[in-house]
Amino acid sequence: MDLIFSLLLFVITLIFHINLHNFLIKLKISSINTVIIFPIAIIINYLILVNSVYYNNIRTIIPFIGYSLPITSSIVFFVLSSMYILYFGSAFYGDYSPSSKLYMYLLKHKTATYTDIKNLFSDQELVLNRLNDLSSVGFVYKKKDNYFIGPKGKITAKIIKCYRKLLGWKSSG
Amino acid sequence: MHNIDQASVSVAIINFLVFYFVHIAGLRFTKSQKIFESPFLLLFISLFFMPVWVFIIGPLFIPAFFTFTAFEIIITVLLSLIITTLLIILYIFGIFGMIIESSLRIKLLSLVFEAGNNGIKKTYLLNLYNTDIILKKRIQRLESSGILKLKKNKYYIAKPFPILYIHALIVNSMNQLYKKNGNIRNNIVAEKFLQIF
Repeated sequence: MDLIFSLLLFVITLIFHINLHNFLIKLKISSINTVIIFPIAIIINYLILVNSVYYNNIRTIIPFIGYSLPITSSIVFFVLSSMYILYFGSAFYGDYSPSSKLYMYLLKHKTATYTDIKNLFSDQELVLNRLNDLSSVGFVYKKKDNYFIGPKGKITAKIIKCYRKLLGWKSSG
Repeated sequence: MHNIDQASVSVAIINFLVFYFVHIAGLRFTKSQKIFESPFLLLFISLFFMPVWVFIIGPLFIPAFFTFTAFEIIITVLLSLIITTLLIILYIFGIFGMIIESSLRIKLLSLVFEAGNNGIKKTYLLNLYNTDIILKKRIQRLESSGILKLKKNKYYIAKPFPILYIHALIVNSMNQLYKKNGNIRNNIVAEKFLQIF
């Protein structure tokens, strides 16, 4: 029951987010910050499941599936929201996984030479656009033709470097 | 709060932590090209042992576990399976896959960071990291996983990998649901991607 409630609330939040984003686009406001509604919805979801007398009354009259599961439901909501935010971020920044793009191309065309595959991508799309995104959020900054690390970027890079050291693997990217 | 809630969450979180530490330890012995296969294999092993975990961890955290009916134990196992699967999938795609291992942005950030105070020239950076390098690495990963094969200089899908298809499908749906923000490059990249469908 609680899980169904949380899934419903997640779908409502999702529809609200799509409409909010599209409404803001009409006003020529484009922001990734609209995802803030997801953490707010998680808190609302938890508070309703724990505190709402009305909801608790409904729950108790349903046999078998009427168990109180506020933490389980909130974790499910949290994981679904996190996955959704990651995908929304990809779509927002116009990023597509190169492996996924390559796979879809092969699915449609059956075979492809390396040159065919390479023609699907460019340095602009894979590297420079992403560098510009890092620059727009202050992780790196550009001076003439050189890129420098920003304070936020330095902290993030250090954390990732430590994490990689802990894992003991060098591969990335 | 019901005991089932506490039992399911405790079992799932401990199972996830065990998965995480086994994965970290296992990475030291995993070849970089096969780095994405190990978490999926571990996910299945974790889920397989879930009912056993419920009987070991359940009584440790929930004293009332022994009063659970058979139906309640089944519900606990099912809920633990759901939470563990979701947490592991989030870890594989979100933290491990998207952010740490295969993120182009993180790689670029590391390259700029490694350059130190003198910064890095755009041309030099493109020598170190470019379309060619990015693609070769991905093709190598897909080949070593048996997903892609090369025959007479042409690549083809040898083993379907639905995860990449689902990923593309979600991004495609997102593009149709959300109006573009007028950013030219987003539109161009999105249109190029949609043409593939």
